[in-house]
Amino acid sequence: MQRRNFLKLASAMAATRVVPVGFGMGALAQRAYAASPNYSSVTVQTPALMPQVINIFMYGGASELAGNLSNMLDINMNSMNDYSANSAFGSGILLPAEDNDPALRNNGGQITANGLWKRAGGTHMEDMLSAGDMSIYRTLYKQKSPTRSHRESIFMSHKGTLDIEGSPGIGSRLALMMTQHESSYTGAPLADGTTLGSLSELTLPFVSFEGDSQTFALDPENNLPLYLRGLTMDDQFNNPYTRSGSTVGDSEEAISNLLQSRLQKISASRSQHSKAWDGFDKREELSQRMADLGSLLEADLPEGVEYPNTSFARQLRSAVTLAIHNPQTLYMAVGTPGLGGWDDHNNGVDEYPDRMNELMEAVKVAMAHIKASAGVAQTLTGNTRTRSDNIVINVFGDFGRLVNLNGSGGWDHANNQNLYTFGGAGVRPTKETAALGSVVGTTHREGTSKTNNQYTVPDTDSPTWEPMSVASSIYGYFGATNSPILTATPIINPEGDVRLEDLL
Amino acid sequence: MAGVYIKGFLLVVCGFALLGCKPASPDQDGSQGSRKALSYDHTLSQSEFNALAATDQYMVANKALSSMYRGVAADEFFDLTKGLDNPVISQTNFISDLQTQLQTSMSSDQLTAAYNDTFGTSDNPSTDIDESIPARFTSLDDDHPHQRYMARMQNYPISRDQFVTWMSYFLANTIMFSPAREMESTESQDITRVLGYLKLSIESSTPIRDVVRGWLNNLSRWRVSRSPENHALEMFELYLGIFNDTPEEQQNTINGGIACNNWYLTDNSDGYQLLPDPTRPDGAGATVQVFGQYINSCDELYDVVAGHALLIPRVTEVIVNYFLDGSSSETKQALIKNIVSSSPSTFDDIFLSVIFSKSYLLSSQRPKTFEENAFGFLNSMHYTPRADRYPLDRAVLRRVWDSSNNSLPVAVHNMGWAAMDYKIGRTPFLPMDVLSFATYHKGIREYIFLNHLAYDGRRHPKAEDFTEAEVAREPPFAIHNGAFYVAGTENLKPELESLTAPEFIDLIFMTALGRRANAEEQEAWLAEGLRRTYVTDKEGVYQLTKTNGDAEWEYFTDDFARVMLDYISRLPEFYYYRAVGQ
Repeated sequence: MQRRNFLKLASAMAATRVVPVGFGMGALAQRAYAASPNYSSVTVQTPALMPQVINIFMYGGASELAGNLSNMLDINMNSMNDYSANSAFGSGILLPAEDNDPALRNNGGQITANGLWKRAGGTHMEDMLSAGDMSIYRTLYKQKSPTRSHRESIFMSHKGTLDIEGSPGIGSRLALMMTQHESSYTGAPLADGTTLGSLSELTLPFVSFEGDSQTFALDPENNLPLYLRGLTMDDQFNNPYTRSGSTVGDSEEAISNLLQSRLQKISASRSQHSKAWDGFDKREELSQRMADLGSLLEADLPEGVEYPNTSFARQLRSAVTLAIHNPQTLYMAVGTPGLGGWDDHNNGVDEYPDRMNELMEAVKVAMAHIKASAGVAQTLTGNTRTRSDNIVINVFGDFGRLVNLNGSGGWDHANNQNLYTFGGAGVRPTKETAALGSVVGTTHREGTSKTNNQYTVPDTDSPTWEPMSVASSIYGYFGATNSPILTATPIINPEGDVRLEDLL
Repeated sequence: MAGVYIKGFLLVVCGFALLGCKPASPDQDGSQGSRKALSYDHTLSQSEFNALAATDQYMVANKALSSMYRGVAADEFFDLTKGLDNPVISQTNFISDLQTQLQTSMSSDQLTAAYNDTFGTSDNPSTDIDESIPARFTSLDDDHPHQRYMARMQNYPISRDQFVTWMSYFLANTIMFSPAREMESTESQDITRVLGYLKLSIESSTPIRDVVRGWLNNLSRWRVSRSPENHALEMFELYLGIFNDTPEEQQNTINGGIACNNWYLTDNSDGYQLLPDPTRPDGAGATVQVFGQYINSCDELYDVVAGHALLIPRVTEVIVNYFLDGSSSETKQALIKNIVSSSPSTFDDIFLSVIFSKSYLLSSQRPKTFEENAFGFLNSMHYTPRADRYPLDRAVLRRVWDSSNNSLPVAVHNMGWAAMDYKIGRTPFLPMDVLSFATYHKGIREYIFLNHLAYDGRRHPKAEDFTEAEVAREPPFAIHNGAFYVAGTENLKPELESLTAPEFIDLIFMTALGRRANAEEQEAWLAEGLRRTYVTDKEGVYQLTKTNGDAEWEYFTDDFARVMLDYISRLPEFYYYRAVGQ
């Protein structure tokens, strides 16, 4: 197109396609208003054991191949670029693995017994499957909203709903459900043998290790008490909550008195600056609390438990440490920092397998850490942890990726991904528990051969879930018996999404 | 000859420096553009500004300036010799002057002087005189090239040049132009590239469509998108607001990828370079349809995007969303519609319209970013990063924008607000989670208010540092006083001498909070001032205490201000812009 044609096009389009900007966003906001869940309609049974959930999110959307090489021969035959080339993954990508030795993960055939990618964390996953610590669900498939946009997909997964604008996140929905049904939780057993009292007395129940996470986005229609809102921590339990500095000498009392008086008088207008108010309130609480937590990371790990020296492993260690020592921490959001993101449009050849391996190696250590805690670990309340099978770890991302290996050595966005889920045999429903140790769901390749737009889809006889089913399952662990209500959206998804359990 | 030379040199430098601490006019001769005050219905006019109460005028003035990380001091905005009880505004045409100045470029001499004043210059060994200028900013990190832009933003006179630098920095922190340093495929050169591209483009008044068109085939854009199909997808999302929701949109993305399929990004070992793929047919290899247009190459796809009707509304929306965070959807939509209706061509058009919109200046209330809050305050307090000893810029500048192994609470990346890092740019809302906010509070309280005192004046460079040096010379830059003291002393500035203690309390509150102290606060701080002898009761008139001691320790003004600022830092309202009348 010549320059003059571009200019003609610009003016022509300006004349014919003047779409009011924000129309789409406005419409979504309207839907969000209508979609605020009716928490009182949820029915809750007291959990036999209070769960603790760690949701690890793979930002960028990871390729499914680490957990699914079952279609590899067909994929390679139709790919524009050859997976088995030496400049790509080598001929081993098409061959069965001869061993499951992590030290030899780069050698020989790469397709493990369960169709996993040996080099891409496959050896660790096989170990965890053998130990009954893990399930792989290969058909977490976005169909209701097929968008391949990061933002929309991330929000859908973090909020457990198609209605992403102005709607609450999974953590806030869970907290509001618990608030509405507090009596169902009174007396629920925790993993250290104590029972849950008032929700207002819980210590650090909702925590984010990934900063300001959408999973704790508030519900504009329903006020969530401050004590149940998500708190953010860093992976060293650093404590920016204290006040120091070249201080004001003995004016502290004058400052405090005036402040107390002023805040009391203007508390009615708190909503104008609510986030800063909340921040100050929580600062006071955390100032002391973080001092207690810092020492937990300095304690020796159980024998044989050694986390890899990576940013992600440090964050996971912090989350697991908090979960182990504080059974009152019920839900945590964790990212995968330091692993470089999963948006592998390019250079997947060099980066993806090692990154998946680092991830799975750290999770395997975390599972060993969790399992070693029962009967040993002291909790913050001074009790001994009695159970370790209430901790669930979920790993998933924005969406999956195409299976055509593109010219930049990576994969573009697509809609089928794996859910890797670990532990929690004591809090999962029957069939989910039975599925620990298994790979669930089957797929096949679709799309035009030798083009970029090739992807896997679930086989017609395979169970298939939307990403919102992860949220639905979490609500179920916490006692919701009709959890799809919490993922439903009027008109666009009125029935909501089933739990994993419901299709097994 | 040497004497003539240095006199001329100083005239340039001091001429510049006189402009440096308030929104004064750059040289009109070097100007570009229309240089008129804005006259849109949606922007604030001088007469509307004049109709506000004096304290609200000051708040609004600083809301506008702090959006660009600048501020106007109360002793410049008001005539403090007449007190603060019934303030007399000395800058009577502030808003229209500011609007004009932001459209007026500096002359090349002024630019050179501003550059030298900011980054210093060494002596010319071939002359007998010392022509060196100590840098105002001495601690800059090459791995964070945006620090040099921040230094310009802080030090250049309010002018189009300063505004262009700020716009470039702002845009480079949005999803549209972020260099995404967090990604494995990018490096600090991408920061330099994007900032340089934006600055040069905006400086020359390049139309927005051409700025976007030129950016789409830039290596740094490709290093973020990385594959042909994703390059197309991100183009549609970032610049058109089309989010791949429908099968038709997905087909546009797929076809866009085909159009760009003869380009690829090399891998890490080859340095992530953008290369044409000789194994593919030239162009798309086939005609494909995108948004109803038939195209044959990536260049033609760029033309389609840059020429799309949604481009200007989308760019406007992205910018408006930052400024009107927390406002209703209707308010945002109305402003976007008004701006788009005014047919903006350049980024200047959009930013001026947003910053000076009535919906932003008069009605919005949203959290201030750390940069807006800290540098708005510091600039309203005559701060200097160039102290007479122990330079302050490391504490107040470098550490803010150094995201490598920097765990200090003053660093914005520890507040979830890193500069240049995020693939999706900074979110259009400030992260206010507990950890981010605690870090923000700690950073501003300890580093800006209490510890480093870059503002009080005691450590500001003074003329004697040069005139009484071993080889004496005139100061190579204008000497300016701090918020309270004559440069390099603890002697109160003459313009503050007539303030009573209650007026001084108001001065601190108005500068930091944009409002006067209320009755309870006045009473409490007067009492505390008396108790700690910061305030003296002279026959019923409360005055700032003067010790009559060593001139270095003549006043306790900084100590008094510090305890009040500590209190202010604990008020939730301090972290928000307020609406007029709120």
